[in-house]
Amino acid sequence: MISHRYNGLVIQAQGLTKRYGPKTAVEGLSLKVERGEVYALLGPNGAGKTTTLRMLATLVRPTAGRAEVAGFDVRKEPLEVRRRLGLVNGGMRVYDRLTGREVLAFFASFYGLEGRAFKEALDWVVALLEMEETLEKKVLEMSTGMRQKVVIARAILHRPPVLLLDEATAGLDVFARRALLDFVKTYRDLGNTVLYSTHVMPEAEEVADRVGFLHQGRLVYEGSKEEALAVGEGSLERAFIRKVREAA
Amino acid sequence: MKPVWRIAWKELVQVFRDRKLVFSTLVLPVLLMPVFMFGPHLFLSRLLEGTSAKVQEVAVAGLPQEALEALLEANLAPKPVEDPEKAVREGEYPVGVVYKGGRYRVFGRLAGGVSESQVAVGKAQAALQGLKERKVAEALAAKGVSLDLLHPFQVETVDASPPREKAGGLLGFLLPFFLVSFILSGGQVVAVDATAGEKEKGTLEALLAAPVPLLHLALGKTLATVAMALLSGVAGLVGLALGGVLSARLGGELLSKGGQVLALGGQIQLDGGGFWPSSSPPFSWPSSWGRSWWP
Repeated sequence: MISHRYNGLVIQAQGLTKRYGPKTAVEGLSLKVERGEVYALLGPNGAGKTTTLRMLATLVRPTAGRAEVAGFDVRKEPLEVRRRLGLVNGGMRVYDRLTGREVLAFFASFYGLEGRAFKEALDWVVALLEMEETLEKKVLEMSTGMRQKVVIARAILHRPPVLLLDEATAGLDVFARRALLDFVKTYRDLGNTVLYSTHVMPEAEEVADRVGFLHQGRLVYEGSKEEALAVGEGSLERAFIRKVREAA
Repeated sequence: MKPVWRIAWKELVQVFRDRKLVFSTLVLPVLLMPVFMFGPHLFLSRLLEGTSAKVQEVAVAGLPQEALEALLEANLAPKPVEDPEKAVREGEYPVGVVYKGGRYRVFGRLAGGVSESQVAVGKAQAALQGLKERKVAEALAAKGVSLDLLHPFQVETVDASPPREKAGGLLGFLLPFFLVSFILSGGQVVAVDATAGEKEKGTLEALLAAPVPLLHLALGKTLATVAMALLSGVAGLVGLALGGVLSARLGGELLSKGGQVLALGGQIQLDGGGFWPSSSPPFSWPSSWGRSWWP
């Protein structure tokens, strides 16, 4: 079982900033995400959502500010952070010439899940995602939906308390998209935290407990879904546009 | 270090399940090595042998009778033409000879490498050189001077290389070159697939998000690359052995005490004792190994 160092807040960021040369991708982002909630990070393309998630996933180093995931500092303890989170993004793929089982065994080994522990984890994830048919197939032979299930299974096999989803429904057909949205709610109901980044407002309306609006690298609004809907008179999209205009 | 092995395993499984990749890195060296190593030699030997035995026509102008006879003796057929140089340039004759003012000029098309023209030029030169030496000997004899005056002593060069080094011969240079080529290309394919390939296919992000130190990632991929490079080198050696068998069957020498012997410039010997120890560290050894076959 993975140990944690957090109480209520699973993700905390203070003044998180990322600059690429003269371009600022994220500036002074402060964020608090509690255990057992789905936090939707909303914004158009280029708003800084992916950079934010990549900083939290320890894939890029923040230029300034600090962040903790599951109680571990993303700068100082990246391996501990990675042990406690799963990351799925829209462009993510797994190895074409391996079977579903081989892909999962490969990634599980990095979390110490081998032998019986792997079998238990596999049984759990297969039941959760209903992906029995993917195990013996090569990824190359799978449909897009089946592949996405393997990608998600790889990310949650070690039952991370934090799941980062970055435009995870991009390119999915209606069935695969529906399965993913249902999964997000199920995973949240298991007591886990999901940071859900998207530019598709209706998806956020369906799965989010709280929302944050990101525009040009700055968090311009944060609140519960109900509060945001009230701002937008029942529409997250209207709320987003209103808050972006206010901030400008 | 377990992640290193897991990553290397994953890379190698990916490679071995890709038929095109297996063909290009493991099968192709086996097929190409014999072709590269022995094909050109066998082809050229047969071409030159055939050309030497054949009677070639020579465009001649102003040649004395004794020179014409010398050319005939050298398996050449002199044909009088107005401008031998032009005739050779236009491809009507492989060689031409003009005698003017006490000087023989031999024309050939020599820029294209080994060709019939080159062989014919060699034959014409040798015939005229022989005629020249014969005339000198006759002149000296007429004046009562011994021919030995022209050769007061002999100069002889002897190759003192040990037999094993001689065995390297031409292959002593070629073998490391081809082996390094196969090793590099074999390793390169995996290296590219394991780095840029992962990025391009979108699989790198998942791997980087796993709790594995970057050093372990790099080591795992390097291990797979080195393993594939070694296998590619071994495939090259298997190809070499195969080429040896083919060469022997097509006219080379066959089987000696030390192992299989191939005739090509020098000789190269392959047997179990030399094959494996020499192939295990191909990154660092090939250049020295080609000429010093045994330890």
